[in-house]
Amino acid sequence: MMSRKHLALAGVMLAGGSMLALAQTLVPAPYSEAQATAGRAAYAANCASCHTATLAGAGEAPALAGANFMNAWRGRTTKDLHDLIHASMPLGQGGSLSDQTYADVTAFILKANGAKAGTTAFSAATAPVRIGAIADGTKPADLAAAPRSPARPAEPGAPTRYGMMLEGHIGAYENVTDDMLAHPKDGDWLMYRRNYQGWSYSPLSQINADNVDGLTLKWSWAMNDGGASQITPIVHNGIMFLSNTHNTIQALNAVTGELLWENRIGPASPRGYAGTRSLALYQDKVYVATTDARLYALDVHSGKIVWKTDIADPAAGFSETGGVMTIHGKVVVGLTLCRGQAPHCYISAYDALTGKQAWKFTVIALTGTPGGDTWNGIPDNRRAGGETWIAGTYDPDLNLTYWGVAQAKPWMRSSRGTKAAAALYTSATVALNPDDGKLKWYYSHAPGENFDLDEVFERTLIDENGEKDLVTIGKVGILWKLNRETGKFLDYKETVFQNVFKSVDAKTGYPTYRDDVVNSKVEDWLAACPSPAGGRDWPATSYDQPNDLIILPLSQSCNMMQGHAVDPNSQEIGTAGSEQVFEMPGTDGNMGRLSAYSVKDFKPVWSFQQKSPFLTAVLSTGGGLAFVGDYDRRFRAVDVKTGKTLWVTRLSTVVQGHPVAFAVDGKEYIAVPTGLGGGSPLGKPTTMLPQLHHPDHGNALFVFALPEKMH
Amino acid sequence: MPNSHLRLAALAVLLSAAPAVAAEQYDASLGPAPLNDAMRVDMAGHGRITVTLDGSTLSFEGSFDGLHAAPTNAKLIQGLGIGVPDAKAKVADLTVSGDASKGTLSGKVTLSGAQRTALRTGKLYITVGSAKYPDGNGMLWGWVLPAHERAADDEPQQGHWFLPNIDVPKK
Repeated sequence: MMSRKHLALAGVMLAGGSMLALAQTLVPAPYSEAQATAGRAAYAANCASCHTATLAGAGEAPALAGANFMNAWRGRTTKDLHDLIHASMPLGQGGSLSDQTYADVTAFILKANGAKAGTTAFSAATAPVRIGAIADGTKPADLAAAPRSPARPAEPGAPTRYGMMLEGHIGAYENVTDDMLAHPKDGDWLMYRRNYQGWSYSPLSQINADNVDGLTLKWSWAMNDGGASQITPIVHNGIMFLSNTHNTIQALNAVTGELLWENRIGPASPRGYAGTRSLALYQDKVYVATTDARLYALDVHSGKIVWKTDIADPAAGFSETGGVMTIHGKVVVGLTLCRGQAPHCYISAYDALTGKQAWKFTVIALTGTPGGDTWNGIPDNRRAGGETWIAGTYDPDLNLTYWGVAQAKPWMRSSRGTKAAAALYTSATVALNPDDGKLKWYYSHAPGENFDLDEVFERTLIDENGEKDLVTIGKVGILWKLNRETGKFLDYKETVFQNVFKSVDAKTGYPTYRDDVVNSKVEDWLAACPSPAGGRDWPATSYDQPNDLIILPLSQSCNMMQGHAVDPNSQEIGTAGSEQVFEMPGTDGNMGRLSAYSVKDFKPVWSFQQKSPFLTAVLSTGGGLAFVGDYDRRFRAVDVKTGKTLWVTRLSTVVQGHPVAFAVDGKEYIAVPTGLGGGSPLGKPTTMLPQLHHPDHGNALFVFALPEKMH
Repeated sequence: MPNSHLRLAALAVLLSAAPAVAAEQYDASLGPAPLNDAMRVDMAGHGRITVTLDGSTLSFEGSFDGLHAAPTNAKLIQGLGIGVPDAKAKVADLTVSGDASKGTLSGKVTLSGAQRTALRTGKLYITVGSAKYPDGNGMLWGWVLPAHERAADDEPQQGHWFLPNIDVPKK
């Protein structure tokens, strides 16, 4: 009879034999263990801020390990993986690391997917090996056991000190009231697009078509680098409030650019969606939502924190970058990076004095709730997306606030399992009562959305012939007009080439997708014009009220998109899509298109096209001008009636963000940020316009005005 | 002359005076085929091809430059729609020549009635292949669209401007 010792050994040998048998089903991978160790450190330093320490992915940064990674990469080779990383990563800085680093990171990713190390290090010259032959998505024990949403490491170069850097002592300050927000003074810029209606229009006219060619730089201010900077300067009482990346808020003298206070609230932001698009003012406080989904009220005089509250559990991996607004003593804010984790995406409101939550409206209709039956029956924990990337607008007379909701995730319906279902309230306009968050009406712009073509941007409120309208344009580039009292569809207009809808019902606005989209399956490559850069993206439109023109910073590019299967057990629901981009037919490769349309009848008035896309909001003014900046570092003023360029200057890097106009002591100023980072709007031209170059640093603010003698 | 002969003579005069059907003008702007950052090193270039339909004959003439690889083939393909490729639906091979930086394209193709409809509704597109990307979408591609005015540099266009989804017939 075998002794216990012998039995134990036999058991180990049997188990070991089984393990050996399993291991032998995968071909040894072309990397070394030492290289993977070096690659892990390189990954942590350069990649984890977007793809997370556990390679789970977040937002548009796909998973790099596990079943979802294997679904996308099983059939592709080690060379495909290495070459794509080398050419495109870090985001916006492809090719900036050493060749050795890219090879090491590739090795680490293979190891993180269960590939067994060989004896030879991987390099760009290594013969291609099919990833499915060497990896099976099995994560090493330490990565597999990590928490679902670990804190993402800070981007390299983030500030190392946080807290009150300079305490302010601002004296006289006129508190911002509800009446001031509803009727802002001409020289103020109190909120995201200046007024509750979202016009991005300033009535100031000192700078006009006759003298704009004399505009000169008055001061500039370097800002935190890193992350995505798409800011809006907020100005009141001659004080400019600025949000920097890495959750840093500053107050400056708007005339001289002198720093008055700085509070580095923190945390340091991960790369990508790292900066808030707008602040908000109310009474004697400035409000900011930070990238770890917290809401802060700062004292305008000193910059000190008055209160803070969690919008959502920061540990759950949510974020907030869309900006805030204040209505009737409440701070209203959205939520981003909603990847299926409870409690899903929502819009919420907080008492402006205390920070206590007043209400929340969940934008993902869950099972058993109104709209819950519009997800084709998929379980609640697979219902993801619905971010509110842009702060809303507000009608004081109707007492309704209007928000756009992003598309459902994953991007493609075949990956998502929702087929043509509307997946409410994604890809929709929602009208809410700001006092209690109750839904008044909704309108679904793109039921069964399939290509990351959001309908999430500002809802511009315009009264036309006694009718209360809402005008909005999403990534597809369709101008929509709704009645904002009822949500009734009124009109639509295509402003760029789009081929995702084969028709739009003229009576209801209901779009019908192309047949191949309707019949698509996982792994199908589908063409889409526009690409996820739009059409149009986050850069805001402007309603030039005196001329009844809506001026659109449009973008022209297309892509092929492939949807991948999503592991039903994965806790991270990302985009699950691969892309290849191409020039939009009929554009000669012009990615930038600035167009003006009559709001009354949606007739095109003028267009201006160029290779470089526009990456700022449009600012129109009472001086008959429209200001806009672009990827190729130009900031220009055009005649709002004809589109003719009247003044142009070249700044230090990509002109990105939201330009504003303000006045102090009777003098008008134009402020515009330069900024880097972000998703498709910056990513697509980086791929498609390699002949255009810009520094990969240089977030800053530039303020222009006329010389003294010219006014 | 009997009346029937007079009528025949009048008809002959009318027919001989009727103008010939004008040739239809199209063009295709060539640009890189769908790519990601890793593919960009092999796929570059731009060009313009003039395309003329005379009766059933479609003629091609044009050039391209800025390449990163020599062209090896060119095809006319019928897609599913403007900007929606279908690499399996080749209509004809075209003639291409060039080196690693530039090339020319020409050809004549006889179209069926259905293919003429595809032309008029923007479904036909050209691909230019290379040794690395000989098939599928190729190295360069471009849709054959009705000839239209191009946007001038630094000059705004007034009123409506060419949009394929609005200006190309759907049927």
